[in-house]
Amino acid sequence: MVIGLEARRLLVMVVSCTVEYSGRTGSHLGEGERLVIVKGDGCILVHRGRDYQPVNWQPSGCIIQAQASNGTLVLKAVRPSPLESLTLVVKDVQFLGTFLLQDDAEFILHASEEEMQRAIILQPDVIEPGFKILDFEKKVPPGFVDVYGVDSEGNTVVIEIKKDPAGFPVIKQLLEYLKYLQAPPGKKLRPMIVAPSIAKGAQSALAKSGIEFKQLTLQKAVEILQKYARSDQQALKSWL
Amino acid sequence: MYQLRSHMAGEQLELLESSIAETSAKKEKPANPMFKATMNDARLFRNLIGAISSLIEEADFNASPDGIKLRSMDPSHIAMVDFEWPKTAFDTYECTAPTKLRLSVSNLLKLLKRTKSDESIEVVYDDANKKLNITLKGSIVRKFITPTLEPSTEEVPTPKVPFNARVKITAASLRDIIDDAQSISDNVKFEVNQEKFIVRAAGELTSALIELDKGSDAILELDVKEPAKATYNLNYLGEIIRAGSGASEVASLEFSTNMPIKVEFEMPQQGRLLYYLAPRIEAE
Repeated sequence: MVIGLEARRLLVMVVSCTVEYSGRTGSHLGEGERLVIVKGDGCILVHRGRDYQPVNWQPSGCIIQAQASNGTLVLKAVRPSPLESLTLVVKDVQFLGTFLLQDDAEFILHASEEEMQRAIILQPDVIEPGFKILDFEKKVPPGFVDVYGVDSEGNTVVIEIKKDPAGFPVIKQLLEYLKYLQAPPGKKLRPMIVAPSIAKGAQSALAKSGIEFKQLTLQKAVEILQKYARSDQQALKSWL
Repeated sequence: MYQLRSHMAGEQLELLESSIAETSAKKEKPANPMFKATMNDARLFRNLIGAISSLIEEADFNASPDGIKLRSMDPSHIAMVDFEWPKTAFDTYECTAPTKLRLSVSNLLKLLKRTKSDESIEVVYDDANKKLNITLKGSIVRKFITPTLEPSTEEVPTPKVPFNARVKITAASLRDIIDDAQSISDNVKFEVNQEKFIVRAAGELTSALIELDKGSDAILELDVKEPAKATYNLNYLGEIIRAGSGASEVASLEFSTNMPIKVEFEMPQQGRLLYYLAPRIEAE
């Protein structure tokens, strides 16, 4: 096992152990049978035989130490900053394996336009600083405006979202919507396409149309969603 | 217009010009305005607009012969403002027919920002021009004319929440508590039982605990059917409480475990200013 740890291999164990955590708070978990995973980048996960989330864990970058004495094994993961530590006192080892995993594949995300829209609603300044949302799915006779808002100067911003490279159909669609929209007196109407990229050949049409392009990658949209998903903020909708 | 004229015979042109003159005369003196209200203390009006602007950029004001109502959600649908101003809250109030006015609240607040203590306010809706005329009268008279926007057709319903606890508290103390909590965290946890109201906030390193007993000076009423605890985002709650405490001295908090909170500020002359804020559900 020590060899496995030193070689920064993936370590998988099924053991009977107790778990102590000390740091920002403290926790104690009495003896029980658990699945323990130590990964090469220095993170540790302690799973019970239920729930998808580990009962205790430490993120990557921990210093992992193992010491055996009198038939017990002490496994300690120390995170330097903030200082916190997870200590496992292992009585019985039912399974132990170390692996060296080869995994260089790229992670590909599947996000939809709805997720991109949700990301903009959650964090409007992804469009530009000072951008505020007035409405989304705003009804206009030819369809619905994805996001409708104002910029820091009070100009109306009309956003159409595409998850694929933006081409002629979306330019046409947005121009159609504009016929039914008006900026407040003295202000401008700013049509904008938000997409990961512009389709080949559509660049000059876009420039001529007076429509702005704002790049938003799916990766970025998902990052925003994840940031807010962790916050567990509810919407009022469930109570209306 | 220029093109139109060039194609017209002299006689028609004269007719057109006289009708233009007629409409502009009408614009200057609306014979029977749809809506006109005055208030001797313009700051009351400003504070109320401020209380709405904390959450909402544009909103529909529903004026009826009985008063003004507004109910609107913030763009993320996490919070709602609901206010009602009966005609008795105004010194004079005339509204001949129900009228929906959509206004940019931030723009309105900008106009009212420098309102002084000795100023009165008159608000007139010019239906023909779809414009709002605001006159502030003090040692000098200031008149603002601001456009209205296209009202939305959507009606916002009231959240249905079974509230188990109600805490009536001075707005100033509530504001202090929230300011303290906001200095260390993004969220605040409210807990209440028959004896006390507890506020917790926890940051990365620091945490705060504020306990208010039933007999404390800040607590005006503590009415608890069932103990409750819930967590709320301080960006929203901070905005709500700062805005409300500028317009009122007494606040009521109503909530239940992991349910939205209703924050109501007592208003003079049977006015109503309340907010709803959805909770954060914390994983244990």
